[in-house]
Amino acid sequence: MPQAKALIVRGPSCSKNSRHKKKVEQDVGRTTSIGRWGTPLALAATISFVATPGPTQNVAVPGTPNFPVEDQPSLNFYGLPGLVDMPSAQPMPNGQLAVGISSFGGQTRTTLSFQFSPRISASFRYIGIQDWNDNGFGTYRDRSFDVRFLLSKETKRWPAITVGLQDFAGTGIYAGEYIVASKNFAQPLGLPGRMTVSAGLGWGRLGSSGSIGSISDRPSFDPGDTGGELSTDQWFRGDFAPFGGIEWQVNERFGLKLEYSSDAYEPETSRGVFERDSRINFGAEYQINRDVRLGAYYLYGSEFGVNAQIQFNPRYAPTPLTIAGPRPVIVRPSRESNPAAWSTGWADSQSAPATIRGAMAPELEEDGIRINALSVSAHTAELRIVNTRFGSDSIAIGRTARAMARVLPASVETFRITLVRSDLSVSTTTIQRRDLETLEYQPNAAGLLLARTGFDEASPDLPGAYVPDDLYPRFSWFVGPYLSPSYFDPDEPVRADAGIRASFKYNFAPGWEVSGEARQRIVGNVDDGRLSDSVLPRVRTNAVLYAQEGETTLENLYVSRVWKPADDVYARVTAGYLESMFGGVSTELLWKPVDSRLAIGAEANYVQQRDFDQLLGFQDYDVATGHLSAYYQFDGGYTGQVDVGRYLAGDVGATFTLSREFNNGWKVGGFFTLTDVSSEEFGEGSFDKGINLTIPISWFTGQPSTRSVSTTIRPVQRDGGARLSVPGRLYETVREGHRLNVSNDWSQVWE
Amino acid sequence: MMMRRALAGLGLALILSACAGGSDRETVSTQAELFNTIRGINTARRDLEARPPTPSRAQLDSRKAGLLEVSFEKRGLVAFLAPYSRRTDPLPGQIVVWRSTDGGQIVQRDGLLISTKGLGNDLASADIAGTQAALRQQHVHQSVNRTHYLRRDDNTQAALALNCTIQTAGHETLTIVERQFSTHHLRETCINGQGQAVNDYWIDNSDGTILKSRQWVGPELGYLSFRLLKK
Repeated sequence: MPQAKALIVRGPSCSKNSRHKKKVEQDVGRTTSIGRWGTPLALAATISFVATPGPTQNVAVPGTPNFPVEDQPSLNFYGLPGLVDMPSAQPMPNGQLAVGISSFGGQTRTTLSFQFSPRISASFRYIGIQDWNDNGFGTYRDRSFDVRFLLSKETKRWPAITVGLQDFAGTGIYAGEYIVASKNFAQPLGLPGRMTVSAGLGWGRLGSSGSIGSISDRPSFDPGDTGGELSTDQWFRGDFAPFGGIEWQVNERFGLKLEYSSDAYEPETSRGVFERDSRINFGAEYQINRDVRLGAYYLYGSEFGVNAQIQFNPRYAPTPLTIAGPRPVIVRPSRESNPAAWSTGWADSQSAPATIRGAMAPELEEDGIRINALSVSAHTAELRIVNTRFGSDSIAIGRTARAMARVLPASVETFRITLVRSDLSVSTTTIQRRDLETLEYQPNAAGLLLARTGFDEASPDLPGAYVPDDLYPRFSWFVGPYLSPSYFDPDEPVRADAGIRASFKYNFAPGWEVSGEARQRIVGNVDDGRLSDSVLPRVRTNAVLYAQEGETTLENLYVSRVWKPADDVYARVTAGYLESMFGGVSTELLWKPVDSRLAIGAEANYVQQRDFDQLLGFQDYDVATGHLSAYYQFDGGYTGQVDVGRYLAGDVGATFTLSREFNNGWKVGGFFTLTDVSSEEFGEGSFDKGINLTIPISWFTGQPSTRSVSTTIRPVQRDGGARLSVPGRLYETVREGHRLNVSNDWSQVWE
Repeated sequence: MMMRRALAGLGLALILSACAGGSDRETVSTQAELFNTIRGINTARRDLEARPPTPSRAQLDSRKAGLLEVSFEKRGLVAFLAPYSRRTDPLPGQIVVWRSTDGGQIVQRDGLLISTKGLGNDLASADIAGTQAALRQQHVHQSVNRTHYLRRDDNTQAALALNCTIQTAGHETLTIVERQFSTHHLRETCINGQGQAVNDYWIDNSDGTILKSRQWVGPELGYLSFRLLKK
């Protein structure tokens, strides 16, 4: 279910006038008005200095100082670091994502790989084998998961050693295990470039040709199996065989590969998919740019093959984030030089907060920051703000602090900035004005300021504060396109519906929201998919029926309220048509102290299944579903989540999620759910599992944004372990504004 | 079939014209933002102009505020920046924030670059105290350390430490818009494990001001060249 990371953003406009252009004009305007420092730039008013850096412009110039660059290995036909069809031992750079698309002999493999940590990588693969003509399939399609673990890194003397499990939880067509060593040699034998020599031992599929021994027995591949279960009883069992090869990277662009394969391709050759006449594979590869490498090969003495390797790292955006520079801090005059500026008499004035808000709001609004409440005294000021523009709240905090330093009377020394997200006050950052003034241009200014900054829980309300009376009601609407894909249908790998959607959001009081979305499908083929064969209540597998009957649909329509019962506790109640398949009531309570890595949540829902036409009616099936959740943030951006409870089909169990989150908002994770539904009842795949991807919009555009796109990829969607999709779950909203997340991004506070 | 195709066309038209509104600027769509931003980028690219004309001596003399010419070598851009803020802090030297009309900022301490903003992959801050002292005293063969705190793409910053040597490149007469200055040309050669960067400074013999320089920012931004057209 795609869901936005944050609900509040600055709206795009319908006009041709882009935001970028608007910003330019605003800044020109301000240059004139400030007057105090700047003078109008008559000479160069139309010159664009910043421009927008293009995709290639953030590539480092060779030969200039740089940070260490990690080696990027080439990929094999399985989309893993390797030779042609065989693996090698090199890991990808930490955090790397790779997509490999390869094809030979009527077999196409598409693999998504992620270097989860410096040593661990995981892959998800979707394959199609033409001319299978067996087991009821013309073209055999399957999904598989791999993991690889780097046992030892390459040193000057020793090779890198990696152990890998291939197709370790699927139906097992590619099931195989290996241990492989690889060593790099620069300028080998006086030749130019670099040579990588790899040698390993394979089991399963990788031990099926030229085996040199055997470790007990191994059951053979069964295409009719539901799959999905860990085949621990098979790993490193049966015949094992050596494999190996050489990769010669002749220069920066051009590479050659030669390998000896230990894969007999027994399931394929026995079904006549292709003929295997040789164990030798070879080919040539060309690196088009940092991200893309193409290769052409001759495999198994009979087939030509091609391989497209796409690698990128979420850490490196195609377009670097570009944010217009901030206004400088105004340094107060010294108390000796201007005692009058330091008087505190202003604080007695009833109108002081309104005046201060009036002076500060226009500056903050230009940065997409809204003031929700303001409290001032002679020496302290607290501002409650909503950040609608920046992906990092630290930028909003920094800009708010600067605005405070520009506007507040000199006697105010302590700035308290409270982040308000989805109408919840989530944390308070305390900055001393003196630190802003002295540190702004010092080396490592962000690190120095962080050491002097406090993070505290925010009280639910700010007693006695000035609250602008124009905050509510707020209304926004949107009309635009939607695209709703559906993956891995046995007949059609990707199906999709597309059309127009119209949505609105109405906030009529603090914490209250009414929201809804209607859709009109224009094109699509999801309704041509296969009908459900599920023996469980069909809580998710009726997607085809929903698509058949729903052309004009009400995607959701609900009212929700969020509030803070206590400093560290957050609550939500949502009622209405929550998602396309269920409506009802959802309640949630979350405990998350501001500096805690642990959060505990409880969610209880009572929902009824919606009619297939997705209008106002309901079907007979209803269920009480809910979970107790524990969330934990580890070091290095790793997060874990365990949800224990009752799922939509009434099954009871737990979901385990492990994710890696990058500071820029990218998130890659995997999950699996085990419930009291047996693998037979569950059907294909045996249990629910999948991959979550979240990509911040600003990663593509280089423009600041709080938005991101999320998607969940499941090898197969069944009815067991299915969770309700509730809009506005609390954890992400709250956590984003808490100490760990804000301080991780703190380097941007001066941006 | 015709109907389907027409509807598909309509859908495409809608994709290009996603629209939002309301009493505040909040909205409900990620797609619209993406489309609009991409459209904005293309517009911005088209707006890039060729090198703007350098102001004449008469224009400079009649101008009250300062003016800094900045050449961004890697992107082939030249801009004239006006001072936004001048101040001091507990560290030695005069800080000047220069800004362009479109949100770019250059921050210099005694003419040495200590920060850029709004360029992408910016220099967040820099420790240039060693270079600053060596240039002030015009010490040659001096070995100094400098550290660039650079913005990385994943919203972090990283410190790039450089070892530098300052050498004289001779005395030169520098012409800036019809006016001549006698300067001392100093060259700072910096290395780390990955490569080398060279900074050049032309220092006014009369008051020690850096009138012209070419300074390395970071791996992605490369070099910026400055000419102080008006102090």
